[in-house]
Amino acid sequence: MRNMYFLLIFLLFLIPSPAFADDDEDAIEDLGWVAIGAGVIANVPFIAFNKVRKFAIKVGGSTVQIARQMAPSYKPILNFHIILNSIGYFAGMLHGLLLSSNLESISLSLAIVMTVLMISGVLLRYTSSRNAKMFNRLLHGQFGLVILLVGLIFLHILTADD
Amino acid sequence: MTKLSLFLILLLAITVTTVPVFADDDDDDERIGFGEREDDDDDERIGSGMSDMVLYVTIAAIIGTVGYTGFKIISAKKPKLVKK
Repeated sequence: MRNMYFLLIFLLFLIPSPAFADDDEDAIEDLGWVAIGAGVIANVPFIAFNKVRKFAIKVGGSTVQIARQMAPSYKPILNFHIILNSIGYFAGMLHGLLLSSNLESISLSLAIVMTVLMISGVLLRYTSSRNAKMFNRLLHGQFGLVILLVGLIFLHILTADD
Repeated sequence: MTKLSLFLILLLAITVTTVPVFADDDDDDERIGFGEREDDDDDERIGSGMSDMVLYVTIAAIIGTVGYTGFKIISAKKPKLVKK
C-alpha cells in the first residue's frame, strides 16, 4: 500500500507546472485546468464513495453486504483525498503568495474558504475530542461551503486574465 | 521514518510543481516583482466597491456556517423538555 503512495507522489511530479501563470494565456489556462482536474479527482470519487456506502446501509437488506465489501477501500480513498487536497491547498497558497501583488477580493475570498475547509479537515482527521470531531465533520461537509468554493473558483477563472 | 520520508517527498513534489518559476525568463523587465503593484486594473482591488461584496458575502457565509454548525451541535446536546 505504501508503494502506491510513493507511486502517486511520483506521478505528481509529472503534472505540467506552468505555475507562475502570468506568462501567457496558455500557461494560465493550463494551470487552471490542472487545478480543477486535481480538485475533481481528489473530491468527486471520495464524495461518491461515501454517498454510495451510506445509501447501501440505509436501504438495508442485501445492499448492506455491498457496503461491508466497500469498507476496506475507505482508508485508501480517504488518504488519496487528503494528500491531493493538501497538495492543492499548499500549491494554491504558494501561487497566491507569488502573485500577492495582484491580490483582489475574489482571490482573498477563495483563500479564506480553502483555509476554513483545510483547517476543518485537518482537525477532523487529527483531533480525538468527540465534540471537536462532530463540529468539524459537520463543518467540513457543509454543502453551502462547497457551493461557495466552486463559485469562487469559477469567478477566479473568469477574472484571472483581467 | 517512512512518514518523514513521505512528508519530505510530498514537500518536494509541491515545490517542484509550483516553484520552477523565476529562473527561466530573460525578459524580467516586464515582470512585476514580488510585493510590487500594477497601477492599472483598479476595478478589482480590495476596497473597490462591488468587488468587495464577494469578500463580505464570503466572510458572512463562513461566520454563518460556523455559527449554524455550532448551534446544531449545542441544540442536539440539550435534553428535550417533556411536557407533563
